[in-house]
Amino acid sequence: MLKPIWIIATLFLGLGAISAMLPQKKNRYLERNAEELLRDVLVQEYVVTTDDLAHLLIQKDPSILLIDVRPEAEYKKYSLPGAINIPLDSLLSDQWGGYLDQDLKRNIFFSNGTTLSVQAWMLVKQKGYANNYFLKGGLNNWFSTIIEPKEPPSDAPEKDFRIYRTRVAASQYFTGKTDAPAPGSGTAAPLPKMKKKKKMVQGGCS
Amino acid sequence: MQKKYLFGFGGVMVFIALVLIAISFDHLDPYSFRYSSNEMLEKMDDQTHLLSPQEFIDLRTQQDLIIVDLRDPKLFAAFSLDSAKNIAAERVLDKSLKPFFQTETTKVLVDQDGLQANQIWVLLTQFGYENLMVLEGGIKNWQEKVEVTTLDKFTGFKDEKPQVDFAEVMKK
Repeated sequence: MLKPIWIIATLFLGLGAISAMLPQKKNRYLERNAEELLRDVLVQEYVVTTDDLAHLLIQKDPSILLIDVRPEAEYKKYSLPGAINIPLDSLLSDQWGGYLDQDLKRNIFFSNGTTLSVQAWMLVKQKGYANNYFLKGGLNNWFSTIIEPKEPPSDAPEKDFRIYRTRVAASQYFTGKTDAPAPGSGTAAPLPKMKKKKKMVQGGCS
Repeated sequence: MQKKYLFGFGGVMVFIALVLIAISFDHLDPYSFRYSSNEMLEKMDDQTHLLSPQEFIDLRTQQDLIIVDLRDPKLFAAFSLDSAKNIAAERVLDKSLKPFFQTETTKVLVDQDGLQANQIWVLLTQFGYENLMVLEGGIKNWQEKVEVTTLDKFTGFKDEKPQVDFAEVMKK
């Protein structure tokens, strides 16, 4: 007859073996799952329009950091004032972690269109990094709306003319013309809705 | 007597194992991503999932495609591409749609301007669904440039293609 102590010991060993073979739960400290990321996609609060960006740049807002995610060759040819270059293919390398995973600056990703910038945004969002946004329409839209704004048709509502006048002023500011009217003399572009900074947990292993 | 103990002991072990497995599967997140961000970045490398309107038209003549229109039903009712299926973006993760997204037929995601379709492509690909593509420029570009003006250059619409030489414009 087996002694009770042997039965208990075997029971614990068996339980240990079963526990070790069970599928492990992923460590989801900050990472988002598909459902949470879909929610972020749908609310669209991480979208920065070209008018928002022009306003932020004219105000010399120190809290924003422009991140050009295009290849280096395109960045060298032309980029937005003050932008740094983190090409999409090197986005997740360790050297950029300090820029992307922080709670001091509001990063605004941009590219020629919105394809590369929004892909960069999706990747960092999935990793749970806060304070990352993207420029809707990218440089193509920046040039067609801010640098070379088109006058609205004469029967357009007054609101469209106000936006146009603001854009003309912004264009003159960015292209460096000295006869520019004071920036922001038209209706100021609305500030983008920025999410509150997430407080990072201090200490622990990284 | 010894056999009786062994049977009882075995029964207890099997019962506990089943309980542990049930608890474990209950805690597995059904919405967890199949690929990590780094793996997803590799999948984005060639950007071959992006179809210009012309590439979309060509591909449609070569193979069966299912067009998935991600816009809300009102916009879909107002205008949609031929034989498109309306699945509003907020529904893409519904469990009932899993068998549909797991079929091998290529699905082309379409939205108003191409932006959200690209986001949903990232989401669903990272989630584990294959054979997904995106129509660049969305319905807006399609309606304005392809169907109305039929200008050839717009059928080649690529979101990331510079529309002007930025450096040259700034020099003017």
